[in-house]
Amino acid sequence: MLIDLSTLNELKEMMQDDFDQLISIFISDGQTQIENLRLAVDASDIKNTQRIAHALKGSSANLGIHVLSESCRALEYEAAENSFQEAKELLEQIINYFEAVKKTLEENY
Amino acid sequence: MKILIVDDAVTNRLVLSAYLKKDGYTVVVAENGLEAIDVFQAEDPDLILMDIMMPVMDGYEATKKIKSMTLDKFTPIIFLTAMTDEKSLSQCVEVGGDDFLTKPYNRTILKAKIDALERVSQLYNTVYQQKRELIAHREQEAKEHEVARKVFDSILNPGCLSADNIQLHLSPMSLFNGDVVLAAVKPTGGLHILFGDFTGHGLAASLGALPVSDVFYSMTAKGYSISDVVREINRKLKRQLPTGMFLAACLVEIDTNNMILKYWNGAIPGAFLHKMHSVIELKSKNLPLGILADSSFSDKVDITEIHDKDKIVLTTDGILEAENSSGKMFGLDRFKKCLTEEGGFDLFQHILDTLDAYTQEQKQTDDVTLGVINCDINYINQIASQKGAYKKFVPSHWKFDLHFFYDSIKSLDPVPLINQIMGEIQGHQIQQDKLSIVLTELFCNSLDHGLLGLDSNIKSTPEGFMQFYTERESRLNELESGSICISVSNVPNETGGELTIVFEDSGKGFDVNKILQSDNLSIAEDGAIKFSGRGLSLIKNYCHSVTYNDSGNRVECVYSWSNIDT
Repeated sequence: MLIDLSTLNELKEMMQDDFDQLISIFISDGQTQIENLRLAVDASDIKNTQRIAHALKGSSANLGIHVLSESCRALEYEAAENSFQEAKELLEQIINYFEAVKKTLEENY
Repeated sequence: MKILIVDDAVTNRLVLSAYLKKDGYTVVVAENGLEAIDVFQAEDPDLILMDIMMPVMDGYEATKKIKSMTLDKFTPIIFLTAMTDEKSLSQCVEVGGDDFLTKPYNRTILKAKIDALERVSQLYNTVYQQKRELIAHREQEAKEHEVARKVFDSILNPGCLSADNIQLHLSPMSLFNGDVVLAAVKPTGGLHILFGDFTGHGLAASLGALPVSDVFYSMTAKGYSISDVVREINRKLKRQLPTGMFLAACLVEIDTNNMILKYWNGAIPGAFLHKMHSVIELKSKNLPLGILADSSFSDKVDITEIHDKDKIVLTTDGILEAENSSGKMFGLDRFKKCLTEEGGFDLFQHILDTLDAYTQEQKQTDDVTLGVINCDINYINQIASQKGAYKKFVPSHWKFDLHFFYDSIKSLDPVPLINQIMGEIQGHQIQQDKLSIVLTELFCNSLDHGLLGLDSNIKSTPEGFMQFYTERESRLNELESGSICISVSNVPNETGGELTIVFEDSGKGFDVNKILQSDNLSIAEDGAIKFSGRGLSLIKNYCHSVTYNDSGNRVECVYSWSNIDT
């Protein structure tokens, strides 16, 4: 399962009006982060790759989007190892996941 | 409870805020470490949730800064981290973090950690609060001590402690270790010094110094001897101090007129007269002041000769009990030895130096009260004449008459009044005990037999004695006329003077020859004062001459006195 809907539903219940804001910020921030992540990976920039992957890992985990979070964790690790071949593959995976998540979120909330 | 969330990711802040608000907390937020410091100062939160990786200033740096700003308040900081490596986590603790929470957040764990830290911070803050109160109390106490010290200083020090011939080492807190040092110039020249040590410590021990200084200064100023002063201090302390509190004291008088030292020592171990080539111990022969009742108290002073530049050394047991590094006391023997050492040094400084060398620690001298008084005769005479408040009393010519009419006699005893007047004129150089007996007898005779017309023969039996006084009281109440005139005059001579005391009453008098004869006879026969009603034999014992006029209502006595200071 791509998204743990129970976490999101709990948040929606607690946050009510703020929830919509949370979702839209997550999507727009996520898009920016992914664009920046692509630039960093293309440039084999270890530090920035790590930093952005780390941030996206944390924020997606908080929303219960564990698959995306897990891929970010792997990317953070590969960047640290300077394995940018693997990093590029992971990035493609992350982009695909994010698009799917975005679609799911927009459909559901 | 107010919680500060520090995280650069909006979504993280939103999620956390939602959790915390749901649990009833107030939430404030900051986007990076630097902003966190500002918000912390402005909002004073009770707990901080701190992300690590942030732009501008990271969580480690912000935590160090905030912890250094909160020395007297505990504000727990929980690190929020997506990191799981040991190094990062241990760094959280090193910079002052109190706990950490890994992402994704679990509401239950978050709540549990906040609750636990809230209890810890309550405990800390209670301790901090008590510490602040303790500090405030200490400051208050120090302030009160300072005020008390100033008040005491002004009360205890109107004398001449600062005179150049007195070297004093007083602990700045001497007031609160119960030591008292007083010095005053006598109106007739010479110096009175009191060196005392109250039992106990603290403000309570020092309170006794107030009555002591009161008696010491006022009686010295009036010309009383140290015997009188020490008796009065004992009487007052006995009455005023609680049981178990008393004053070890040594009083000394430097009599510059006769070059003698008079001293009374009650339990001061370190009192010495330091002469050119010898040291005399001014031994304690008495109990401390405030223990004995007046009737068992001895005010007997010891007398020793002094020479110019002899030194009186006085110390309380602070010096004797000063310990060296192995806990051994300085003791009396070392102190005495130190006094006998010769070498042209200043004695006062030598004692302190010897003590310092012994204890090897400067602070030991904080408990030490030491006084060295130089018997510099010229200097003492000089300061005596400088003290404007003091009069030099010399025996002189004077006379005063007092008239008491029947109504004033009912309520007034003229004897203390007469003593007081003579004291004002002659500065208490006239010893009052014998004179008071004479005056009292004369007054009683004039009143009882002259004005009230009582027969003293009634008193010869025990029943008569009672009858006499009952009769006396009722006649005194009914008295509606009459008077007694008292006249006292002085003619000075080399050692003091000759007082002529005249009592004249308005009564009808008595057969002078008969009474005088029988009075004399009774003494000649068995020594008992059979005709004690007139007390004439007593008066005759103390007076040069006693003369009655023919009608027996006027008596004239001549009483010789010598200056008690000479």
